[in-house]
Amino acid sequence: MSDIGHLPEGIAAANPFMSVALGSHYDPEGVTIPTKAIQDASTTVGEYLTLPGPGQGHVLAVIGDHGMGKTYLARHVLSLVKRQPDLQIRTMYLVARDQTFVELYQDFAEELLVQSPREIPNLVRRIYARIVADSLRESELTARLATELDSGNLDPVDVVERYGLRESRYHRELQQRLEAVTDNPEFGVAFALLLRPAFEPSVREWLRGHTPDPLLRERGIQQTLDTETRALEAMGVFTLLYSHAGFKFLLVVDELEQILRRRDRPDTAVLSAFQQLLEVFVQAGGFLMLAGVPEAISSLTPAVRGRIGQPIVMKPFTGDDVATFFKTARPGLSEPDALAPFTPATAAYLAELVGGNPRAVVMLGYKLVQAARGVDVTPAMVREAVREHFNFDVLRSVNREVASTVSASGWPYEVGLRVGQPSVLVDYWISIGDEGAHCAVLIADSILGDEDARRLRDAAATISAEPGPTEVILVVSGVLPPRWVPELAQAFGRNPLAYDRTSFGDDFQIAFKAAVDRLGPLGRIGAEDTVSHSRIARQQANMYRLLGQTANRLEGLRAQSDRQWATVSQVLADLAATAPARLPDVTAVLPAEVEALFTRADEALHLTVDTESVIRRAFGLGTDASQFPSTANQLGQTVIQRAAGTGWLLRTMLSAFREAVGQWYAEALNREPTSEQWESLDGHCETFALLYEQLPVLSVEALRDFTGPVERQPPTVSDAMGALGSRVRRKLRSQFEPRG
Amino acid sequence: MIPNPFALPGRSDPFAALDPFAGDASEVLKLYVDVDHTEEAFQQFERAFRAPRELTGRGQLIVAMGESGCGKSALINRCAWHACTLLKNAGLEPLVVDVRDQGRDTENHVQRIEQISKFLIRYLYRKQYLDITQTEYEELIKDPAAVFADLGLYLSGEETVVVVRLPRTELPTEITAWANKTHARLLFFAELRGEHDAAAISEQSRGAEQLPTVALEVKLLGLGHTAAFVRHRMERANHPADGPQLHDDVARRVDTTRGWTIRELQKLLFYFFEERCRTDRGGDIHWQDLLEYFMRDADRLIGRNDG
Repeated sequence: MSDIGHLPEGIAAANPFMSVALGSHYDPEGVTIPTKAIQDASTTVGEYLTLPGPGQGHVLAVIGDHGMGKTYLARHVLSLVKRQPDLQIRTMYLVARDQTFVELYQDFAEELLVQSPREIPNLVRRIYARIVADSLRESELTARLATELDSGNLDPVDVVERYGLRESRYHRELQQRLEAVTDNPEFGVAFALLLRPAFEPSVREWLRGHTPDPLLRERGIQQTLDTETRALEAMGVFTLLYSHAGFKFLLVVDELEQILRRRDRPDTAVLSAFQQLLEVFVQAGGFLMLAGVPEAISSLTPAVRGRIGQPIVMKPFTGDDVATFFKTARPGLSEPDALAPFTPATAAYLAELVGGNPRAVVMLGYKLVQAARGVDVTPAMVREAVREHFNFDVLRSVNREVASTVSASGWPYEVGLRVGQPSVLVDYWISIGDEGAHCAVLIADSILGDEDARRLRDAAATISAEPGPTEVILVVSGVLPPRWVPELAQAFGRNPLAYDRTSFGDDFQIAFKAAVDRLGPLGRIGAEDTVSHSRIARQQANMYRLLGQTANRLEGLRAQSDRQWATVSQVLADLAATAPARLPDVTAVLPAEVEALFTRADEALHLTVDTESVIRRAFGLGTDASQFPSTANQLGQTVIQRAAGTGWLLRTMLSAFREAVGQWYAEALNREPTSEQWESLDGHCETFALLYEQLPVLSVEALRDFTGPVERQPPTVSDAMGALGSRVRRKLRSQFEPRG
Repeated sequence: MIPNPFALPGRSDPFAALDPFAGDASEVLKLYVDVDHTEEAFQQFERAFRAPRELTGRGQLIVAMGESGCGKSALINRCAWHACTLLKNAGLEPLVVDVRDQGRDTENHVQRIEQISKFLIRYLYRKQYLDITQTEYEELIKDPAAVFADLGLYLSGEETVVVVRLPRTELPTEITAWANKTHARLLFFAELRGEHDAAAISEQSRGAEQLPTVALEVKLLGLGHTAAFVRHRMERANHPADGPQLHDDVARRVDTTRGWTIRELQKLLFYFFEERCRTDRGGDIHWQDLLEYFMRDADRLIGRNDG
């Protein structure tokens, strides 16, 4: 048995999973396991980068189920690109969050036009410089000016003004050039107008999806970028613009399935526009990385898939991968210490239970190392961690989707009914038709052993033994290791449905419809009788009955929610409460590098969550009271309230974390930190990471618009806070490492 | 120190377009040189504007068009001045209203026209050129763009013709809109930036209430134009024979390489002679001198040689 207490100082207390950063938050300085997928993607991108100029473009798909590391891979590749300062490349990472391509484009435009407001005008200016330079090169007299323009030493607008050159001709040439480059006259006009400050606001507004204002309309811009087809075209146009200005362009679209598999899926015209976007990327020398679940890519038309080529498939972690990960995270240690508190067997067991899902491995690995506290992780501990991990909001989501589908079907149903002998608790018991047919929905949490599987098989048999035709759908809200799938499929007559937050609604609808159809003509007649009075009557009856049932369930859910809230509050309170009463000024004692991390996070938060100023402005308080009078109205929006609440939590967390770290450091300065103290620091960092991971951080970005224009864009909240725990820990550890 | 022959006396901005309305008209008119097609364009205007009294029945728009720096403003100013002279000769009373500074870039042309129209009505009313009551004025100002059709009726002077100097635009549609607003006793002068089809502009602006629009084109400098311009300016400034002189070869090379505009030439010569005259260096100016000048200037611009 290994004992982490015996490991060398500074290493023993480290939770290696921290350095990977929890969930999807990539830490460029953290540990990366060079899986084949990561190697393949890095090689492909590396080849792209070595091509001179914009070069030949590429479209790459990265497929894998949720948590398989697609996002991590994408972030890793982007990080590699950013480490090459000499490259003229624009990178962008977008997440398709339950959107259409229009919203995805709006995120795209937001990053290009709002977060970097001078970027596109500067790109246009660069192209304009070339046009002026080409003209000046025609005369020996002005050839020198042309050279300086080409090298970016002179501003073309200044040169035209200084020498009285033919501005109107150059503007016309610029517009024609941009029309040709973008293959779109309206974009040609719009981009050319970016050269003229008076038109910039109108153009920006239009590029962000608003209707063209009269100033643009009289110059020929009529369309609004508000359809999926135009949004896709617009993204291609920007790619062409970058390419023409001499930049490579690398765009990652993550979670593509959220667009391709949404309920009103993109139609043929949109998919055709999507195909064109891929073609434009290849043509323009851009690199488009599409990440999504396998079904997202397979749902594309063959023509689109043909443009993508061979995708990179994210493979599940094996026990060996987990072990490799430990070793990578703890360089310098040999087995068994490198694996502590795991053994090869528990590492393999963990990998098996979570189906090799890297995100789950990391999350659970982190929890298990925390829980182990000096002893080896046992299989029972692994199972317990898995159960806890999957017992958060998933059950609520599953119930919501199931209830919604069943209720919409119009068949009467009951919730939480005991059926059969010995009785089995059925989550949903739906009566199909008038002749005693039923569909049962059984919701199970994680299946972690033969006993779990046996219990479910028995339940299936009991329910099936009920009088009348019966179909049973098994929904697994937690982990469903592959080894138990075949026997459960046999017992239930269909594959169990594993919960997937992006597709569960659709998956369940399909399964339910299939079950109803299998119940025979009665079911089919009922289900297809969409306009009959009886169906409407059934739906009404359902509604009334559900009102009663829901009231009871709400109590339960509220209690669950309260418990989660209590957990968060308790941890926050603990962080603050454990502080000694009087401490030196934290900002004064923290090392500069650590302080910088907190300052960066604070800046990111300040810009996005300064709702207090918004409210003050609404009351006419503050120096800029007149600037954003309309923002106060937006406070009524749920999305803003959610963002503000999350922002407040993040602020509180950051403040408490900072205080705790400051106290820790104040003590550490007095006396070399002991292993317990290191453990205590790790605890703070991990608590922060854990709390952070459970908050809807991206929602905070909705508050960015409140702040209005700023001179310098701060980092996003997720960039600044995503891996803050591990960064703080690493910086502090490096402070105490022996020098020289 | 030798005076710079390209600095025009009495003008603070040596690059501002020639304008007989600003300063001593007879002196300004002497500064016009037969370059960049402006003389041909002016003659075209003279031929088209032979019967000024026709303006008492129908309005007219004169527009100068061409690339920036080719002399549109100077041409249209000259035409407007000449038109006023001809109107006076015909017994009419030209009333010049300069609205070139009215209307903003950030407005569309409909808004711009409305704003300029309001300015015009307010100006005419306050100066008592309109024979209307306060109530009528208030009615007119409510729909300013519609006032032009009847403006002639409201003018207090029976022989008055309102000559309006319009702001520059880049939109042919704006020119067409203005052309359609000319009615009896209104004469508009406008500038249209960029290359456009003169015939099409005239055709689009044709209406029963209007005399044909006169579209005048300015062009780039042609062969011999640089020498003519330099000679003209030096003679007018009594530039000394032992002062710096542009070598004929330089003028020829300027004319034959990349198309130059009169503004570009004026800027180059002004700056170059400023430098040369300050040092009292006479003699021929060769191509190499200009080359070196551009090198120095490029360094200045990029801040390499500030000191």
